[in-house]
Amino acid sequence: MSEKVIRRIIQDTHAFDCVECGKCTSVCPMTRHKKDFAPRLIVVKSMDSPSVEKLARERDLWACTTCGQCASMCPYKVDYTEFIRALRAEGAMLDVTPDCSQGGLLHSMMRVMAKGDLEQDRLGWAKPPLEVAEKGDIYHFTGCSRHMAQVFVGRQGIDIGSVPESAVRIMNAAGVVPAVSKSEVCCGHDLNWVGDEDNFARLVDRNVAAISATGARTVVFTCPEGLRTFSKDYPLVAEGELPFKAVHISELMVQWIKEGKLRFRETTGKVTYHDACRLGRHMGVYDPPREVLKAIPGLELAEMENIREKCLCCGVSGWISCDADTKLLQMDKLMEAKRTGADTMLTFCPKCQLHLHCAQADKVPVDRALIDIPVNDFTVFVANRLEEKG
Amino acid sequence: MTQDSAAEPAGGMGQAPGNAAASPVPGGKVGAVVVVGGGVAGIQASLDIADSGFKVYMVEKTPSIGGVMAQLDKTFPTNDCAMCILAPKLVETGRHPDIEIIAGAEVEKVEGEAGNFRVTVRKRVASIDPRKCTACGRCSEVCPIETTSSFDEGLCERKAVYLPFPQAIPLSYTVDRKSCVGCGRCAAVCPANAVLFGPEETEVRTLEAGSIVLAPGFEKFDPTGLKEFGYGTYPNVITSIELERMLNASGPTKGHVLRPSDGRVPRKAAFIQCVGSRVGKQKERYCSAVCCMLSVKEALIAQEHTPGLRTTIFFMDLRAFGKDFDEYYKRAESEYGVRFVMWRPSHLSEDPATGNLRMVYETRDGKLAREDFDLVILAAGIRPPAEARRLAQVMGIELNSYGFCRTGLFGPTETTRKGVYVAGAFAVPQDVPDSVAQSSAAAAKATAGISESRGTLKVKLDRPAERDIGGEQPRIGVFVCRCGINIAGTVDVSAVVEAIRNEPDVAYAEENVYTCAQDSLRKIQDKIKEHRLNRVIVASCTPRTHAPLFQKTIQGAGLNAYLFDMANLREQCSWVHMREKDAATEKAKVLVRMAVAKARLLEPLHRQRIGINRSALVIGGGISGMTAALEMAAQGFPVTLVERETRLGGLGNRIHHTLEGEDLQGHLKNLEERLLADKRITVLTGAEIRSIDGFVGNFKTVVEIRGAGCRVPGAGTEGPGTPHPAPGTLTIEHGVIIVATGGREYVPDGYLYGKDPRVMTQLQFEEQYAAGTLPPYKTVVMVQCVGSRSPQRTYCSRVCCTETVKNALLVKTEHPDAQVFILYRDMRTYGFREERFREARDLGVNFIRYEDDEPPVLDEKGGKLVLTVRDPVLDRKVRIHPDLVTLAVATLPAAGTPELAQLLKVPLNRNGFFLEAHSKLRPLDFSTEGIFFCGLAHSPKFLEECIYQAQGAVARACTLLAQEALETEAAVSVVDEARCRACGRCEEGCDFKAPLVKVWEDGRLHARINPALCKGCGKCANRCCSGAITVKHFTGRQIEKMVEAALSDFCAGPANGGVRQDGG
Repeated sequence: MSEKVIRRIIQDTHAFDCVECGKCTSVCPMTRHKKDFAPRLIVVKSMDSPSVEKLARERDLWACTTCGQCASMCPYKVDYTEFIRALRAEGAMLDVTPDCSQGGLLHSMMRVMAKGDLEQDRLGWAKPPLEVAEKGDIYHFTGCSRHMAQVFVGRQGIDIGSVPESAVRIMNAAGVVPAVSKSEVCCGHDLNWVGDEDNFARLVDRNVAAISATGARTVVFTCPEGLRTFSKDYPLVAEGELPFKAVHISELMVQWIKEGKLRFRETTGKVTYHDACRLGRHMGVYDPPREVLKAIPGLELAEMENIREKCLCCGVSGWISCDADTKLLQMDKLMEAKRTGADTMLTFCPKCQLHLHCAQADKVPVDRALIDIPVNDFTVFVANRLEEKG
Repeated sequence: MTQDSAAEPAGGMGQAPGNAAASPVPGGKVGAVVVVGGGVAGIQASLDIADSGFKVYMVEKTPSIGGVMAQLDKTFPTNDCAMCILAPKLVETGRHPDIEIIAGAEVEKVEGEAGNFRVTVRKRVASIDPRKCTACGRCSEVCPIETTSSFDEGLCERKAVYLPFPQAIPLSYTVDRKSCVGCGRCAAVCPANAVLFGPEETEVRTLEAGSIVLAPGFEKFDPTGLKEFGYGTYPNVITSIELERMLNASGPTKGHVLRPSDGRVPRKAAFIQCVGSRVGKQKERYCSAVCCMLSVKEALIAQEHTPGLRTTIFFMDLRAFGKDFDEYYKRAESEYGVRFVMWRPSHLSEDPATGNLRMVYETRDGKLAREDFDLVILAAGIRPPAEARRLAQVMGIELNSYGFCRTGLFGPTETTRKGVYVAGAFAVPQDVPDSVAQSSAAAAKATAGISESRGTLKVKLDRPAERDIGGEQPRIGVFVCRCGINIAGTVDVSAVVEAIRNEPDVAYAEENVYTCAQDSLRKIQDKIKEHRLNRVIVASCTPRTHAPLFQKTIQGAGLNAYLFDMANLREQCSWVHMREKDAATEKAKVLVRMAVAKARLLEPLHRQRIGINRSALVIGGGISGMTAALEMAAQGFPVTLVERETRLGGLGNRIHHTLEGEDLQGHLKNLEERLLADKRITVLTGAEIRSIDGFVGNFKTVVEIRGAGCRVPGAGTEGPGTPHPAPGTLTIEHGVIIVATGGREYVPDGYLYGKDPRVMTQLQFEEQYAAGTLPPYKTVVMVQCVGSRSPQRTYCSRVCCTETVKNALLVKTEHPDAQVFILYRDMRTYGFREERFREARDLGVNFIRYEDDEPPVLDEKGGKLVLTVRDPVLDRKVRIHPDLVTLAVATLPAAGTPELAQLLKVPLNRNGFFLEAHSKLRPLDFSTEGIFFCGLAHSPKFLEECIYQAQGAVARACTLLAQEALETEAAVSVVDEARCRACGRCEEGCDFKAPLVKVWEDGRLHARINPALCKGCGKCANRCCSGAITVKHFTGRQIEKMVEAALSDFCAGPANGGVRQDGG
């Protein structure tokens, strides 16, 4: 039984094609610090002794950040991240659970959204002068950054709480009044990646219903995870064809800039940009964010050593397996950012920001001066540099 | 505790009376101590003595230990619940295998000498046998006689058969012989056959002991005789302790302040201070030292308990001299609005119609004021214990002129008889932390003389071999207690047993009348063997008092102590749901089911044994440090003393006179000579601590020796360090640390200090006086509180009032014609020091009070000093032309204290003094195990207080050094190192410094928790964001299963897809 399951996964993800070249392991950010961790070995093990039970109980299955570096390098295009996700889903069915950070609080919040009828304060930010609508062609997916900001409320310097309003400010400036919905729930990314397919499916149903009710044909995301999940995972789970397509706000911004709808104030300073894995490697959105930054007069973009396909991971995905090795990885990332001499590192992913902040706030194994670079949200940064309407 | 002795026939506690006398060591000293008194002082002394390897006989005259502290509601300055902090000590004392409590007994005769006393004790044979009594309370229920409760200060009634208080130790009902009419109903209903009915009998026991510690406590002053306040006549005039009982939730009014006359809630209450203290030339001319703070606390708590109540405290000097006391006083005034009126009311009169009390007092401007209050509290003072005279005679010791025990300045715990020591309020009126510190000191002194007999009378506990349950399916035995009617009166116990019997993995279930009774305990052991049980649950009362008893029981049947758990059906069910019997039964089922759910996952846990380096390091070579080193050596342990300066003696070198007229410099010289002559002591002067590593029992300290002045004893063979060629560094390995870094004088920045040679600090005055270099003077002004009780340093420096009085007396004795003015805010000459304050007034010293916001101003005009101050009493400016001004400057912690605190990883308080583990009951301990402190490093204090703190710190340290090896806690927190993120939040949060994040030998950075330091509190696990920390015996998985069991009635099916917790 178990063997059959694994064979199906191997087939679906083209893992049969693996030639054991080891390219995946050599680029894996986790392997840099976690001894014995090798993406290749998980694939090899699954072929040699195909037992879900055994594989799911190994830490390695849960330690992978699914950042997709391996797949991006794989000469045979093995869908490594999907391989991991599928195995996790099988593991979850056997009641194997990963090590959740924050005592599993965030997963509980997601499951409450999936199952319960608790009314959320999802649109508390949508106050005048911001313009939003109940119906419309363009839907703005609020996402969970405000919920997360509440969980980490004591942390200094975290600006993800104002992401939704910043996104709407940008859209309003471009003359777009997006539809929003208080029935929107978590996109389900994290539950999907810890293998909780049941609750993921519930979230998908709720979101599709909520967005369909607004009549929107386009759903705009700031969050890379939401974009990836809606684009790649929703079609597999949702019943029938989705009545909308998902786009990233940076793509629209480039268009609006070209159309002359968005203008920015003169800004001094130097920033560096972090390609969140879901936006970059998973969705291929590398250039639009950079084009937006270039459109801000006076702003300098200083690139890090590893960018685009090679961009270093923030260390954690899905609120699981956060350990001392991931912290070392975060040190690598922060040191690289600091070396650019930039005033701040921008990213679209609220979790990348949280993870890197956390790494800075706690005890660190390196000289603090090497990593003390602010990490800020891209959307918030850009919204704050919009040209004032005269 | 009662049931304990039943469970442990092999233990020392169950010995039959009459032959319990320890067999004396032939030719040697007896390794046992008799402690007289079971209040907090006696308890502390007993625990310290017993924990350092000696047998203790605790002779208490009442049926239960606990003393006055058990009556208190809250304690200042932290507002901790008194019983909550005392009860664990009561339980510990009751359970200690080396402490035998002889309750209802008095010492009749003492023969022999230090090292070999024969102490004759007469004990009333308890009418209810504490070894049989299970405290079910049926006797009290049927008793027809009601009488007033002495524990509740006569404010309510109780039966003639009664439990002294709910947390009493021994936990046994007792018969008030004075009220009992001998009807015999209690004997008839007692299910345990514990009531021995008949005439009261006494028995005599002879105890062999090496030393005796006297801690008989004090007598509360009875204000009945003071006609002016009408106590006893006016019902609404009560004493502090009576109010204390009212404030207590378990007291006669359940925590409500009510007027005794009509049960109404008072609106306006007054406290009158110094009732039976500071009384002219009577015996009670001393200051009782505790009443000011007691009243401040009571005013504050009474206002908290009673919305709308306004309180006023009438005082003479508000003596808030202890650590954090002044801050507390200020808070009562500013935050709680307690009104402080500095005047002593002359008399009260009652309005018979309302029961209100009219108070007459003089106001500032000399007019008479009349004010009505509806409740008046008399802050009745502390008197010597009633039996002081008899005790003195029996013990062959002297009392002082106040009727308290006579002690000396340099021997604050020593009585006039060798081998007999004193602690607590019998030595001097004092509050709990001082009593506790002094009791530890008495413990040190009492054991030092018999240290060679350490361990000779210690009870050895044998345990049968532990059964390996590895691989066994859980087989759970459940024992549900009826607790007489305590549980069974509300909960249908049989229904609970029936329900639980069908739970999976429950192999056996039964009910007992009293699960803690001896026969039930045997039955548990039998059933474990019969049914091969590998987990045991007792569903009865609180684990705090009873878990250790049951754990011992299952250990007796070969099970690991941690394969046990309790469900509390009494405090958490029957007692709180008395009127909802059906629901209570359902809840009881759930509670037991939860315990079963947890029990399935229980694992055997083992304590680790960690070796201990049985030597000490003392930091600081002042009087405290030298005393500590000598006492430590007297206990037989090697010690290294490190002093930063090249000269020993510290601040003591600058003190030339003492209030008592004793020769301090001579004493210092004597200390130093003894120190250098003792082969067990290594003295390093001109040496500084560079690093401190390790943990309790295994410290490693690097000392840098600067060369000149370094002294190590010539022999040094027995010392932990060997003579070291200076300069250089020396690494010392030791098991404990005593911090005695002392303090220093504040350098004032006003009053022309440093600009005019006629202005000096009190210490400089003393030095110049001794050296004869003082300028000629006729008028001396002494200014108090320079740098103390200020916004920058909020504390009172405690000693300066007395220092000033001492120096004023010096001046007046030498130059009777000299004019001396003392400018003060409150004269805080507490305790017997009050006498010298009075003497100074007798000799014509002028005391002028100044207001907090109007400090005196000192100027110089034409070479003359001019001091101006407003006298608030006369409301006019006073101008004095002094030719000498002394400043009573604040006492500061020693320079370098913050740096040392960092090396020790211990906290400081907001004023920069070291912060103790608990301000009341652990004044000499740090939270970090193995580190103790004393003297000025703790807070400003007098010489004798430094001495007893130093001795006390030694006693505390000896409780560790006396052990062959340290046993760690078994239920500790552990880190899953692979999951740890090394964030350091566990390190930050731990009060005991148990976690450490660093790169370990596996080359990885992660946290690790030292089981020798971990207390298993779980704070780290709570803070851990990656779920890497598990608290053994309370794992996430266990708690999750308990929650599931609790909710299984409400949620259909298992809680799938719910909260996915960590796997720990």
